[in-house]
Amino acid sequence: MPYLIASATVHNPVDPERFPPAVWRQVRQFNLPVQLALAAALEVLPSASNPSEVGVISVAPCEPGSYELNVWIKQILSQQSNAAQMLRMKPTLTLHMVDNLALSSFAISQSNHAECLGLGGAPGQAWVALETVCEWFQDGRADEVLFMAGDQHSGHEADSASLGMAWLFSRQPPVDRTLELIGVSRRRKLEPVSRERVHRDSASGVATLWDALRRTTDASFEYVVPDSFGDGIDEIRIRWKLSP
Amino acid sequence: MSGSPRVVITGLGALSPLGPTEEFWVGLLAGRSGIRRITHFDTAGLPCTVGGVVPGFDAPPATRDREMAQRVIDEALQQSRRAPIECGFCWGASLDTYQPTADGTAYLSAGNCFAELCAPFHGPRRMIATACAAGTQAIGEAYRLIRSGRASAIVAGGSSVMLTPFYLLGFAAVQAIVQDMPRDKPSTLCRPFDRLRRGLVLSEGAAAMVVESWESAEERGVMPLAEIVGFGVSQDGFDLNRPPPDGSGAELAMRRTLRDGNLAPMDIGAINAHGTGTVSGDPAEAAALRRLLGERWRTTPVSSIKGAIGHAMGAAGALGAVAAIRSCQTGLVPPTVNLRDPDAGCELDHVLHTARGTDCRTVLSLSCGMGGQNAAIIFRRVEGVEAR
Repeated sequence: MPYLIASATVHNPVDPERFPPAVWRQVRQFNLPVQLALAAALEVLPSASNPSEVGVISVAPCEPGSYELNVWIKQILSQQSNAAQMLRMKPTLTLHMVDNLALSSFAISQSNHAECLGLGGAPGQAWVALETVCEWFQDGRADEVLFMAGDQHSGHEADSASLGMAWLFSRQPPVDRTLELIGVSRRRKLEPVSRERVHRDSASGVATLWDALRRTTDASFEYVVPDSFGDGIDEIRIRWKLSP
Repeated sequence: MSGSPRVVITGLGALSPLGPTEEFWVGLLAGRSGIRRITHFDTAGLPCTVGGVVPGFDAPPATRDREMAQRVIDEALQQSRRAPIECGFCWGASLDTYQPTADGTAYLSAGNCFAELCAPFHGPRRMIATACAAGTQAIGEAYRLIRSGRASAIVAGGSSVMLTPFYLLGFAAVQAIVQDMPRDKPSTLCRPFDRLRRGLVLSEGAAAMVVESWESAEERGVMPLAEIVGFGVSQDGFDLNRPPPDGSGAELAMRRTLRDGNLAPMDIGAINAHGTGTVSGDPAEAAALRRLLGERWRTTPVSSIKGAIGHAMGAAGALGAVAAIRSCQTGLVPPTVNLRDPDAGCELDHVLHTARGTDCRTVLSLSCGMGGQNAAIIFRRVEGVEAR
C-alpha cells in the first residue's frame, strides 16, 4: 500500500542553503542530528501534496546532546558548587537533549497538526517506524507519511560520519519506478545479538536499506536487516514490491 | 472501527512521589503532596532544590529509571496474570540525561534503558518519545495495536527520572520550573491553574498497565479494570516552549479522541488535565477544555495530579492514566492540590480542596508535550464483570 515516493540522505555538514532563511534561523540552534533530519525532510517535502497534512514519524537520535553541551556538562557538573557558572546554561542546550525536537520543529515550520509519532533512540526503532507507516496506511490514518531520522556519532562539530534521512510515503504510486512497502515481519532470534554488535543509528540503518533498494532489479525484494542495525532481539525482514 | 475488539486494562502498577499504586491513589484523594526538598544529591547552587521524589526507593542514579520501570511492569503483569513473552511493550521513555557520579559525570541513555526493559517481551516493542505526552501515547499505541488485532496483549506506560542537576538547570534556563527560595514550603510550590502559579516542579515516577482485548481477558478469567474507548494525537505546530494561547492543538487531540470513540463531549464524566502549573500552558489548556465541553465546562469536574506529584515527563501521562482509571472505577475525582484561587483564563469546574464523588464513568486524560505533541485517551468503567 505505501509507495516510497521521495528519499533524501544528508551528510554533515548541513548546508544552510537547504533551508528557507526563516527556518534556518531556528534550525541552527539545534543539535546536529536534528539539523540533519530536518534538512532531509525539507528535501523530500516538495513531493508532498500538502505538507501541513502529512503524518510524521520521527526517530530520535541515538546520541542526543551536542559537542557544545558535552563540553558545558564536563565543565559545570564537575564544579557543582559554583552557582554563578551553573546558571549560565544556554536555554538552547536544554533543547539538545529533547528527544522530540525534530518532530516539533518540523511541525512548527510546516504548521503541521497531523497524526504524529516520536520514537526513541533505542536499537531497531527505525524498523518500528516502517511498521507504523504500514499501519497508518492500512487504518486510513494518513494519505502521506514522512519518516525522518538523524544520527550523531562522535558529538563533535567535525563529525563527518553523521547523517540524516527522510522518506516520503504516499497512497498514490509515482508515475515512474514504484517502490511499494509491503510489510515488516519479525521472528525472535534463538540467541540475542550482543549489545556491542548493535548500532543504535536509525538513519544509517535506513541508508543501508536504501542502498540495497537502489541496487536491486528484482520485482519482489526482501531486505533482511543486518544484526548491526537490528534491535538485537528479532530477525527483521522488510518486504518490497518494485516495478521496473 | 466497527467490529474491532473492545480494549481493556487488566493490570496496573504505579510508583510515584506519593508512593506505590494504592498509596498514590489514597494520597491523591486526600490532597497530599509528594513534593519535597531533594536530598539524594547535592543541590547547592541549583536554581531549584525541590522535586517529586519517590519515597523509600533507594536505587542508584545510574539504574534508577530502569529499576523503577521494572517494579511497575512486574506489578502490572502479576495483577494481569501475564508473562512478558505473551506481550508487546510500548513505553514512554525518559529523556537521556547526565548524572554526577563519584567518577565525574555519567551519561545515561534512555535508549539503553528501553533496550534492557523490552528484551523479555515478545513484541511489538515501541519506545515512544514525545516528551510529556509519551506515557499517554504509549498507552494509546497499545490500544490501537490491540484494537486492530496486531497484538494480543501489550504492557504500556512510562517512566522518568527528571531529578538530575542537568534537568533542574535546563528547565530553569527555559524558565519552565519553579525556582524556589529557602523559605518556600516545597509542598505548596506546584499550583496548577492557580493565580499564584510559578511553573512546574520536576519529579520522578513510573506507571505500567497491561492492555488486552476484552475477549482475551474474559477467556483468561481476569477482571478488566477499565476499558479504553478512544485515543487521539495532534501537533501544535506553534512553538517549542509554549502552546498556542487558544489551546487549539490540545483541543484537536481531544476532538480526534472523541471521534475515535464515537463519543460526544457530554459523554465525558471527568477530565484528568495536563495542568502543570506553567504560566502559559494552564490557560491554553483551560481554553481548549472550555471549547471542547461547551456549556458543560461549568459542570464537568477537572483535576490535575501535578500539584500533588509534580511533572514526571515520560511517566506523567501514564501516572495520569492510573488516576483516571481509578476515577472511573470509584466515581471519585481527586482535588488539584494547591489550587485555591483559579486564575483568570483558567476557569473550569476545578475540583478544589477535597475529592469529589461524581459517579463519573468515562474519564478523559490529556497530555500536552513540550514541543507541541498532544495526546488524549478516554477510559470507561467496566461493569457487571467478575474475576474467576
